[in-house]
Amino acid sequence: MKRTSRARARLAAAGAALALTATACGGSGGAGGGTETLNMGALFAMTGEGSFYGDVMSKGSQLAVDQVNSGGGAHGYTFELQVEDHRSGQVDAAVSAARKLLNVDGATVLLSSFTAPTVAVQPLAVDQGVLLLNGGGVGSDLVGKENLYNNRMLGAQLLPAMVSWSAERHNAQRVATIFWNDAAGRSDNEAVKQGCQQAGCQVVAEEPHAIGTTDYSAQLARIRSANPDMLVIGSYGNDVGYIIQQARRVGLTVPIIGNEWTPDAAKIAGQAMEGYTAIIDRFDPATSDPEGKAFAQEYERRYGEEPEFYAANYYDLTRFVLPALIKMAGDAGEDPTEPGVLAAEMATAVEQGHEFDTVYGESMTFNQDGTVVKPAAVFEADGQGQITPIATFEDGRIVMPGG
Amino acid sequence: MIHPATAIHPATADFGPAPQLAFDGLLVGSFYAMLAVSFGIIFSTTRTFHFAHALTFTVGAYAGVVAAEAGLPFWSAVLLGALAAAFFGVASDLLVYRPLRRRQAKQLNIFLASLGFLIAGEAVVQYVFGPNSRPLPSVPVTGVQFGSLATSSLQILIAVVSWLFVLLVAAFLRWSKYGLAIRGVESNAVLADAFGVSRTLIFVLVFFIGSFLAGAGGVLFAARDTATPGMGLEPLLAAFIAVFIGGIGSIAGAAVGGLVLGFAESLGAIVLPGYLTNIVAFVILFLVLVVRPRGLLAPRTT
Repeated sequence: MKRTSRARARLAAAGAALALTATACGGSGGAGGGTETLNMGALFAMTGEGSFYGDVMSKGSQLAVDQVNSGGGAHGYTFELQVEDHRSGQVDAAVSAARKLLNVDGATVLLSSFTAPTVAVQPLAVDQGVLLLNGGGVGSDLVGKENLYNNRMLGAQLLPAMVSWSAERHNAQRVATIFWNDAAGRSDNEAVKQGCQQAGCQVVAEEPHAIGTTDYSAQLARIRSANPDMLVIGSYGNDVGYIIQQARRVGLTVPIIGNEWTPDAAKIAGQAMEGYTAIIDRFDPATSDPEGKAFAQEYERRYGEEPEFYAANYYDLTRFVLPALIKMAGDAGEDPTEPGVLAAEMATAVEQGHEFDTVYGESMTFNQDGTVVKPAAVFEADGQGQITPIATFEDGRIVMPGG
Repeated sequence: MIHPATAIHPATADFGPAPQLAFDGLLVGSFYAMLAVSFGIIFSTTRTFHFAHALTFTVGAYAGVVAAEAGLPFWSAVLLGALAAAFFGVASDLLVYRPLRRRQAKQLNIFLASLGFLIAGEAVVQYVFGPNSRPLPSVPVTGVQFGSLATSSLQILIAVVSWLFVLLVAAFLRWSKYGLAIRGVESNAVLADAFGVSRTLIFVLVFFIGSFLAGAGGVLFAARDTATPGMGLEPLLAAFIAVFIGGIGSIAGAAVGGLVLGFAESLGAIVLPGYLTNIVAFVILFLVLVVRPRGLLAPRTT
C-alpha cells in the first residue's frame, strides 16, 4: 500500500514535470519566454597559428549566448552555440565542419571567421537558407555574397585611406607590402596599391608569404633590397608580430602600418611594436558607453582578460544583431528557425537601413553588399602591449583629433 | 568601390638581396645542421623513424619557456629545456618504440606509431599550455650589422651554439668509449651485440643525445620566435631532409646537409617568392636521391 502510494506520487510528479515541459516547449515563442532553442554554429580557428582568434571569438559569442539565455532568451528563443574548428583557415576543414553544424546540429545561423573558410561555406549557407555572419575575415571576396554579412571592416574599406594618409604623414614615396598569400592578403595588397595611387607613391616590393610563417628573412631581405620608406602589412594574427619583430631586427627602421593588431602579436613583437600603426574596428574596452562598459567588465570578470575588437564583433552579432532579426521575424509572424527566415529578415533590415546596437558606442548599419558601416580608428602601438587611438575613420577618410 | 584581388605573379630574378640571403642561409643552415645531427644520430643508430622528434623539440621549448617565466636566466632555461627534452626522448623510446621493436614491428608501423604519438602529444601540449603562442621572456636581442648585412644578436648566438653542439657530438662519437659503441651499433648491431655492447643502453644514449640537442634547439627557437604547440614539425622536416641530403650515418653529412638546405632555401628567394622557397628543399632532396642515393657524405656501405 505504502509502496503503491509512493509510486503514484512519483508518477504524479513525473506527469506534472512532463506537463510543464510540454507547456514550455509548446509555446509559440512569446516575448521573453525563452521557450524554443535556436541553434547557432560557429566556425572558428580553434587550433593552429590563428588559434588566438578562435579563442577570443568563441569567448565573445559564448558570453552573448549566456547573457541572452539568462535574460530569458531573445523574443522567445534561447540560443545554443556549437563551435567547430577550421584549423586556422583550412577550407576543407571549414566545409566539413559547416556540414556537421548544418546537417547534424541543425544550425540556423553560422558565425564564421577568416576569408577563405567563409567564402567556402557560403554556398552551403545559401543552399540551406542559413544566415552567415562574419566578424573576422577581411578579404574582398566576402563582398556581395548572398546571405553573408560582415561586421568587421574589410581591408578594402580601410587600407586605401590608411596607406594614403600614412604616405603623406611620413612623406613616403616608396612603399613595400608583405601580406598573407591568400584571398584576404591579396585583396589587402590591391588595397595598398589603390591607396598608393591616391597618394602618388610607388609600390616597390610585394611579398606574399604563407599563413603562419615564423621566419621572414627571405621576404625582408628582398624588401630591404628594394629600399622602401614605408612597409604595409596585409597579414594577420601572430604573423604581424613576427614580421615587425624581424623587420626591426634586420634594421628596417621605416614606418610600419597595417590593418591588424592583436595582444598576442604585440607579445611576440615586444618592444619592436613601438610606433606601429594599424587601422582597425574602433573598440575601446575602457569605453564609457554603458553597453560597451558592461560587456568589457563581464568579459574581464569571466575570462580574466580585456576583450578586444574580435570578441566585441562576435558579441555584437550574437547579442544584438540576432535578437533584432528574431524580433523582426516574430513581428512578421515567421518562425526564425525555419530555413531562409533570418536571412530574409537581414536583407530587409539592410534595405531599411536598420541600425543595430553595438558595444562600440555607436550603432552599425550594413550595406547591400554585406559590408558594415561602423566606427573604425587608427591606433598606435607602444612596446608594452598597448594601443592608443590617434585618428578616426570617417566617411572614407582618416581624421586627426581636432582636424 | 571594392575591387577583387588580382593574382600575384612569381617574382623575376633579383640579385640585389643575394648577399643578405646567403648570410641568412648560413645562419638558418647552422640551426638546421644541429637539428639534422639530432635526428640523424637517432635514426642512423636505431633505424627508428622518430617523427615524434618534433614533439621532443616542442617539449624542450615549453620547458625552457616555463623555466624562463619562473625567473631562471636564459642559459639555465636552455639547459633545462634540453634536459627535459632528453628525458622525454628517452621515455619515448622506452615506452613507444621498444615495445614495438620487441614485437618485430615493421618500419612503417613504427613510423605510424611515431606520427600518432606526435599528433596526440601536440594536442596534450595545447591542452596544457593553451593554443596561443608563448614567448620566452627576457631574451636580450639587438640588431647586428656587418656592412650591408643585417641580422639579430640572437640569430648569431643560435648559429654559434648550433655549431658548438655539432662539434661536441662529433668529438664524443670520435673519441669517447660510448661514441665508439654507438658507431659500432650503427654500422653492425649484431656484431656489436657479439662484442657485448648493450644495444638497449646505446639506444637510450642516442635518444638522450639527439633529444638534448632538439630540446636546446626548441628553446632557442622559442627565444627567436615563440613556443606554439605545432612548432616542431617544420624544423623536423628540415632536419629529416638535411639527413638524407648529407647521408645517413654521417655527422658531417648531416651538418653539411643542414647547411646546403639553409643556403638553398634562402637563396631560392632570388628567383622565387619567399613562400615558395620550400620547394627548393624538396627539389634538392629529389636530386640527391636520384644522383647520389646514399647522400653527399655518407660512408659507402659494403
